[in-house]
Amino acid sequence: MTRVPSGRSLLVAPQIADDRRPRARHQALLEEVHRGARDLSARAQSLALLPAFAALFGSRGLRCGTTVLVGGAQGQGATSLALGLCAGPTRAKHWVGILNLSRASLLSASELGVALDHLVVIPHPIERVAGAASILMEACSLVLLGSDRPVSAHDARRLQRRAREYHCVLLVLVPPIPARSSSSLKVAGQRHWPEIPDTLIEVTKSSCVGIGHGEGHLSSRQIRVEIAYRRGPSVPKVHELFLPRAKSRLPSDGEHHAPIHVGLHDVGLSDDDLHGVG
Amino acid sequence: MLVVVFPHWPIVAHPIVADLAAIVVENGRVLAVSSRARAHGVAIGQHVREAERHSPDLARFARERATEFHLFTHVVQKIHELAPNLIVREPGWIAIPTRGPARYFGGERTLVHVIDQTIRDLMESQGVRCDWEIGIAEGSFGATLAARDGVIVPPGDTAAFLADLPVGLIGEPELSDLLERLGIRTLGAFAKLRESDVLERFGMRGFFAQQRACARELVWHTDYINKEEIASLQHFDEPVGELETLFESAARLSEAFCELLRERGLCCTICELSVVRDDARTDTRLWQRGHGWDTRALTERMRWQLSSWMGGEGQMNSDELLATPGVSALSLRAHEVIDAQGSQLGFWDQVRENDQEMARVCVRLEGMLGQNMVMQARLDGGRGPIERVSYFAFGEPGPRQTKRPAMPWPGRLPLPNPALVYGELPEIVLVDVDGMNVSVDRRGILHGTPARVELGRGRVFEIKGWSGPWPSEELWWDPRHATRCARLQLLLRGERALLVLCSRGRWHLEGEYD
Repeated sequence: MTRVPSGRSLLVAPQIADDRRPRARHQALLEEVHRGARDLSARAQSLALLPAFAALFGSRGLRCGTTVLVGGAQGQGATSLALGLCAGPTRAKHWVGILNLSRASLLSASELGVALDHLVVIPHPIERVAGAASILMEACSLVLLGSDRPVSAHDARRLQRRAREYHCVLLVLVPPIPARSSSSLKVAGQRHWPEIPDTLIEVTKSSCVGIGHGEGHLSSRQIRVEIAYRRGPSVPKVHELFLPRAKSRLPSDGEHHAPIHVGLHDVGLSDDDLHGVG
Repeated sequence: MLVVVFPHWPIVAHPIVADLAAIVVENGRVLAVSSRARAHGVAIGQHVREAERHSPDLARFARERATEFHLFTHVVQKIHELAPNLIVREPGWIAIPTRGPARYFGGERTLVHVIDQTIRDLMESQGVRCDWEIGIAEGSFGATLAARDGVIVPPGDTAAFLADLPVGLIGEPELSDLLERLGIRTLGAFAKLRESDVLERFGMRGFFAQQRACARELVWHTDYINKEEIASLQHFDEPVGELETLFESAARLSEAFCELLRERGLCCTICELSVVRDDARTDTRLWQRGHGWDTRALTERMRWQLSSWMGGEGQMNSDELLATPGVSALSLRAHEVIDAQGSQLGFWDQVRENDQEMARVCVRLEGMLGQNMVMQARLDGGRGPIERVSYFAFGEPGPRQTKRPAMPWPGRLPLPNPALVYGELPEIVLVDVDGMNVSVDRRGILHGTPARVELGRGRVFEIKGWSGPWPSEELWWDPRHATRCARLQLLLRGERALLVLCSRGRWHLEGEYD
């Protein structure tokens, strides 16, 4: 962004000097406007998520200001997972921004629970991805950064710092790892996001439910995810989820707030245990 | 008030089409019509499809707001020489307070004649063809309607002039729909309702609409303006010549200006933009907006105005650019304010600090990326996953919903929908075990068993399972727009699931269940 080199801004009531409104007050107001008038302390420490996803993050929740990498092999459900994580904040009337992800279907997002009235999206690929993302962070509680265009190491570092500064969750969707490659997200993701993220979510196993040979239809996808934290246990936590919940009666989608719960199955839990979670 | 209206101004931005039957389209409706298309019966506000029925070889164009504005500055400049206090609402609409100029030129009729002649000369010299209308009445609402009929309404007769006109002209579509259903069909009938009843039933916007129907201007806080000037000023130590820098200052200035108004619970309907040049020359322009200026709209106007004053974007050679003195100060001043209550669109509900912040951020992003890059989305009706999402610019009311989501849409796929969609519908090849093409016939029956799919660049995948087909036939009653297609879900080896579409015998990739 270009800045006025030695520009000085004043906010004055030029003709009639009013003593009750001293210039200092205007100056302060202006500074506030320029800073983006934000009250960081008012923000919560962790972000509201749909109940199913909240269980994924355990007691620590999705901490504000952290950077989360999401990825997996091609077509295994990483996009749905990332969109699903956007649902909670939009429903809590926080703004969520999506950029650099021109293929994302917002229809799918709304089915996963995203309230579209609190979603802004830059739907076309743009050049200045990092610049746009860092501006979005000023007003959004969560920014989902896709992989249309690569982000340089310098920008990754800058964005991660900025997310901390603005208490915004930066969700980075790593480009799909080709099916034949044996590398994990930790290796493949480093090429795309050279910084060390706070959290790494990898879809390690995935299977479709419902498609037969000419009969049935795709009703859900069962995925296994591994979550690793930068500061936390060295062994990643494993969860299994259905996106969306399998076998549940899906509501007809006239209303875009129609709640579709994403059923979360912790490994070993039976279907009955879940009703308390979803 | 004298008003000059160019109802079809947006067509001017497309000069090559002057002789064609052409329309400018916004949100699926006709915004402006070339004279040839008008002769065929195409009118403003029609659906595009309806317009095409009137005139089959109609050329369609998207709106070019910046060009429209740029061309309109010539008109504004010319009229400014005759009447310095003119007010611009948008490209194609100018108002002039008549009292001073009418006295100077010797009567309203002469004034109309002088302005008409000036515009005619200008249009001829510029080679622009666009019709205009001029009218005089009390208040800008009355004068705009007077311009439509090309009349000069004598002082005091404006309410009578408006009384017989249909209520649909009030400029609040939802309100006028309701009024018509209540049996109130003319502006006169609406004006006769008790003010307190209107206020109670329709709120502030209804009240303001009624004031317009009564040919009364809104209740301006002129005393407020006299007591305290509401203005923001940006001063540069060194004169600034680069447009980019000016645009950014303009965005910050309009933010600060709107904040000042918000603090006082006011809303500015006419604001004055001034630019002080390095050589002490000052350019000033008044801009009107019926329901008040917000940061976004104000920034947009400032961008246009600055680029036209600074010599246009990319239209100057470097010598001239050097000759244009830099800007040493920018200022915005409120000329007319009203109470913010009910007048700011989008502020009907509780205003959240959060949302205002988002609006500010979007203004900055648009400054960086360009107009219509920061969008919000809404779900529409329809069958395919792509057509069911429509985008609209942040903060705008969004296009009219033509496909209602709640209607039944036979042929729609069961949930869930694919998380990735391929808008460009890349072509793929779907074959059975023997390498023969798989097809769907007119009755929606699948011929052949899908075994392999080639996703371009020779990437072939084996198919583990499939579901469908889901045939969908759209607009079968309209042979020109009818489409028939069928969708199929494919499960590939490696658990990838695709949504593919068969149309006219060819297969396309529409989405991926990722």
